[in-house]
Amino acid sequence: MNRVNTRARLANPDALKAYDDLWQRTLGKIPGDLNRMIYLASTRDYNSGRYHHAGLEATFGYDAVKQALETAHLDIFWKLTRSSLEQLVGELEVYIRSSAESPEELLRTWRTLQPYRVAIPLEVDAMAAQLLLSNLKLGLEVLQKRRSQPPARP
Amino acid sequence: MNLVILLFVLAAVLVGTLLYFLRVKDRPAIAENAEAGSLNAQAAKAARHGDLQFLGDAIFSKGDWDFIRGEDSPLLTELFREERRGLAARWLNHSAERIRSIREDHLRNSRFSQDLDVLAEVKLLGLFVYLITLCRCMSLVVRVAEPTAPRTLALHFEKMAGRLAPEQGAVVSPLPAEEFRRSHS
Repeated sequence: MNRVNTRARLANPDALKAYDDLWQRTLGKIPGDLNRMIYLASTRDYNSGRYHHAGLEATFGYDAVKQALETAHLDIFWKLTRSSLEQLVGELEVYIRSSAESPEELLRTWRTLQPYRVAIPLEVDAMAAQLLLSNLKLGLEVLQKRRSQPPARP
Repeated sequence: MNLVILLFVLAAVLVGTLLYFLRVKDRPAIAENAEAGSLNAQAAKAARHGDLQFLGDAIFSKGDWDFIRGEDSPLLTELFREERRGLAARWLNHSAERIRSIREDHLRNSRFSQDLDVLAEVKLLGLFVYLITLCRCMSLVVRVAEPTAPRTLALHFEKMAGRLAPEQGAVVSPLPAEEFRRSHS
């Protein structure tokens, strides 16, 4: 899903401005799409599923910001879902590198609790969501295996 | 294994027969009378459900299979097999269900039609039967062969299913929200 499609979908001019602002000030500075999806999911209320961003809402209003956040979340979800397993492992590596936690700790938590499940946008196609979740699970196992294996000697 | 070969042969015969019948250019869509939703609603739906044609290709991806095998870990290979078999089974069941649902909708609509084209209806029935059979063949292959084995069949399935009117719903259409939530519980 490219930016042109996104612009066509965001009919509300304020939502489009909020979307551009979101990319310029926030999403563009976050390394990796997985990181971005986690960030966007964190702006969503766990109980209501509504997106909130106080800073953007002060400028563009609640409805425009909700649309912008939801659109960005969907765009990144589809991009990740279309990624190959190898690309997704790369995304996981970027996420782990940018995290403050130790890689071992993060891998253990992600493999056990599977917190990435709550990062999926609401009401997306179930099969597509399952594919991404399955690939993330496999990607984590690949990284775990690489870490537990001693590096090959030259 | 002989059964699998027999099923492949049957499927090939069915493909040949149907391609012969369906080689009609600019074939009209099944449900020309289907009402299109508003542009905004369609765009919103497309954003939520995306273009799902890639799913079959992704589930049976040879690139992913090669990547996993390159990791040289029997545990990873087995996990990959399990995961992809599960996904493939769900995708195939859902696809077969959708085809059945489209066929039922079409039958219901055609009861009210005053000018049924018998040949077109027969071709359509053939296509429905063929697609369901293809789903069943792939389900069998998924169980007995490597995860990427039915890839060519899956791509062919999506191409053939694309002949059904898109306005009646994509072959792998979105599940309702409640089903999605249930699948994550």
